Amino acid sequence: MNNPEFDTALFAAASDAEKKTESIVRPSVGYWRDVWTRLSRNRVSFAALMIIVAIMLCAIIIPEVSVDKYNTGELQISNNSPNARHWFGTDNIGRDVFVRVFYGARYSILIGLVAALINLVIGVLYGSVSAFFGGRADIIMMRIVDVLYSIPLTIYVIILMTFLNRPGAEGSEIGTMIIAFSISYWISMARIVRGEILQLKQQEFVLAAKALGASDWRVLIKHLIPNCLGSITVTTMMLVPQAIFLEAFLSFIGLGLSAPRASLGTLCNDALAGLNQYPYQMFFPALMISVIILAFNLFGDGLRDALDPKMKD
Amino acid sequence: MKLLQIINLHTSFFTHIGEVKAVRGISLELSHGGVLGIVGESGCGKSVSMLSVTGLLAETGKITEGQVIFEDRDITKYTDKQMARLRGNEISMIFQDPMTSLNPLLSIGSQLTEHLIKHKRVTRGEARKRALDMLRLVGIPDAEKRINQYPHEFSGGMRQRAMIAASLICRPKLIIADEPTTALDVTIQAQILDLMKDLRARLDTSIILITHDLGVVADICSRVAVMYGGLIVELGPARDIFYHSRHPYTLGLMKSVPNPRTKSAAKEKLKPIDGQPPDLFKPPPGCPFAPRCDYAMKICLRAPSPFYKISEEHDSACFLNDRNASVTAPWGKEGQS
Amino acid sequence: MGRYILDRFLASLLTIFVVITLTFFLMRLMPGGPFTSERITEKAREAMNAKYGLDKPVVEQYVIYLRNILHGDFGTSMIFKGKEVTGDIIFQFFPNSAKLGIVSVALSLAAGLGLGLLAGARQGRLADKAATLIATLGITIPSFVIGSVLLYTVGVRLRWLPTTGFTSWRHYIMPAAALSGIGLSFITRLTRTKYVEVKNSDFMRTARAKGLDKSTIIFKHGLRNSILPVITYMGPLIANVLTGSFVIERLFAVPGLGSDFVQSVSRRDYSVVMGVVIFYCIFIIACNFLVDILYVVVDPRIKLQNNA
Repeated sequence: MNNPEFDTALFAAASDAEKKTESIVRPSVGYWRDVWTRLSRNRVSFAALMIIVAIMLCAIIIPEVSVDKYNTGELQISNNSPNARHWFGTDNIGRDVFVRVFYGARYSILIGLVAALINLVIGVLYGSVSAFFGGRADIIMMRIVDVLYSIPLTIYVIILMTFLNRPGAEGSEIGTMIIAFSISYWISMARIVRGEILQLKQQEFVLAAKALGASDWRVLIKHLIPNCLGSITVTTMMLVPQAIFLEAFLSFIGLGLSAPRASLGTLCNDALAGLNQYPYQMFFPALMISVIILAFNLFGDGLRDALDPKMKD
Repeated sequence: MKLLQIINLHTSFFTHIGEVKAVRGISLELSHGGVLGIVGESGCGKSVSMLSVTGLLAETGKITEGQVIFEDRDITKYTDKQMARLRGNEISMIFQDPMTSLNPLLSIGSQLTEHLIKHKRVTRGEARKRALDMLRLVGIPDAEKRINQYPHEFSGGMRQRAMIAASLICRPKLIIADEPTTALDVTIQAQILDLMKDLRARLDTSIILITHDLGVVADICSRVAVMYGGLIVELGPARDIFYHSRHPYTLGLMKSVPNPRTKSAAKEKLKPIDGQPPDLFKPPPGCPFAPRCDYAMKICLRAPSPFYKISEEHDSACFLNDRNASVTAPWGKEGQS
Repeated sequence: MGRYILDRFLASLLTIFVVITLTFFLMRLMPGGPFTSERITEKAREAMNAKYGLDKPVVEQYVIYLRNILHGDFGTSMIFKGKEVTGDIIFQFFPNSAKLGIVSVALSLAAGLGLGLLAGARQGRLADKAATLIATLGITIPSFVIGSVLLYTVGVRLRWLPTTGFTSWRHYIMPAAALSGIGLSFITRLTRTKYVEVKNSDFMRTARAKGLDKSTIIFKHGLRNSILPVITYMGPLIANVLTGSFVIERLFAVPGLGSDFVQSVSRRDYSVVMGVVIFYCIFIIACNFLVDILYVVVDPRIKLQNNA
């Protein structure tokens, strides 16, 4: 190999400033801000969020402002196909399906949200207490969870619904349903929170907080639970569609709200008898359930990716 | 005829944020029976270059330029099927972490024989016999019992011995060992290295040893290539690299590891190399080490250094070896050409 | 291994006992009974209560109930005026549900594993996106909606498949498809996620470095490892198919235990509901037990943990 010739001037020493041009500096960004940026950049889940907001607003507004009411119909216009006056058609006693779908969405979403929130509280408390105090309490608490876990939750909810629901007491179904969901669906949340806290407990910052004299509860509430917020948020978001799904399921087998109240599940159930002749009566509420559950799922997925970019692919 | 020739190899990874030029034109040769060490810190391209040779790059990785000649065959032109016939058969690999490199769900015996059965078309019984011989050869006691066990029943050192057995069972001409001792305890490291030295002599295979551990290189390699930022910065016989290095990076590398073999170790403190390796999304136009180099000159930041011939077999890609260099090299003024 | 199986077996027995106890007291302690809503005289009601042993103290009833269950006696239906024995109801209807369930589980497994592997292998490509879309829709759309849509389009409009009954293989297609939606989606997701992880693992690189055939690498090394989370999901999958059958059997008029259960629930036929619930729980706990053993068979590492 022949050693080449170069301009001798270039062989002078380089200054530090010249070397510096090579280094790369990136500004640091806060965690939640970062999450929001990632979330809003994810077009699918952002669209899902918009759809959720839009459906919620429609569910609140449409049944109030519409000239047609969810509970009154005229028999002479019963079972009309979708038309300009009744966009989704009318049902077997002439009620407007469009209004009823949004009215039903109210209860479906309401039950979904309330059930998710109650499960959030129970699950987080149960899981964190079990993990944080550990030992015998943990063993017993987790045994209980294991037993509950091995029974299909739906069956469990059905029993509760059957026995809790006193026939005739109007409107008691919503309460019953929420109680039934709340007694069962916190299990996954409790397991997830417990798993996270068991991991976090080992880390130095917990020891540091204890060394500074923080009490157990303070460590739990100020240090441990905030560090699980990511997975708690995602799990809660995933509980909402699950609860909506379960509500629809129960209503479909006749354990849901009783008339004149209606949810999307009961609308589907009512439409089942006339499915062959009036498929649209089933189609619209079914579509609405699917869209709501899809939107919550997609938003939850996006949220998970945004909260924990490591989880992505 | 050389066993392996790598000529101007370029390898890039095409990710969604752009092209990462992991290997930027390296040339190497390995003769039959030789032991070549490739040294460098993480991300310098040493593993990627060898994965390129064996066609094991991740989906996003691609050889963009250059040739790899194995014996007299240009294997960069090989199809997947042809490469598969070569791998595990004529060229085999040993990886860094024996804890994860074995399939946890399959027995050691099955993992030792599956490629033997495929490449050499031997019967199961024959394969098992050869696997037992091989296990004994790599020093696994009680082979009859061990062959039916699963990886989790083996210790780290034993697993690496099993990996070595699996890589040798088809009698390959070349073994590429990618940090074979890094994940092991120090005492086990020495055992594995001794085993490799012993087996190389007995089975007459060539070895390419990828490592960041200079002690390992000194122990077993005849030639050493030092890589940095996707390039080879110094290449030569192990003795020359260790005692007469002509590249500031190689010298820095040696100062940053404790080495009881050198007398200076007792007097000198360990000296880390400040700064970060270059970002290979946008490789620097000049010498990749220049920004971290205490002896950097203006030219180092502008153009990559060519290889300066230090001796018949020793090359260094550093402008300090140029007779025009105004900065005094750490090895002194003498010998600048 | 033997010790492990014994441990799990005892734990299962304990769970079943807890379930029976919980169900019993839930039922007995709730206000109202099976005869409260019937228009009968106070005296007739007392006679009915006496007939079904409801006049005895709760604890005594509980002991009697436990003893009966040990003898396989789940009591008699309270609505069908003593004609129907719960055990008979279960064994008359369950085989149909089981057949439909097995077909659905097999369908979920076959399609889910296939789609999941395909998606994982072609990560980020079109096939991956298609499989992910199918998986998302399967989780999103409730089984009764899938069922209704199939029923209306394929059954009523196109007349390709029979809409009701359960006599030929053609009767299985629509209900099984509707039932397997969720399982298929979960298995696709689980397999994809795990396969993506496995695909990039060191031992898969070792397998490729050995020059094995593509099919050997994917099936012997990849699938075997990717299947582990799917095995864990088998329990929930069976539970899903079972609860899904409540609506699907009703929709397609399949004479199975699911639709019978729903009828009993709406009639508040307590002893049938209880009998079926306990039967289901035992069934599912037994399935979970088998799944755990299957896991031990597939993954040699599990043995070590329990022997140590």
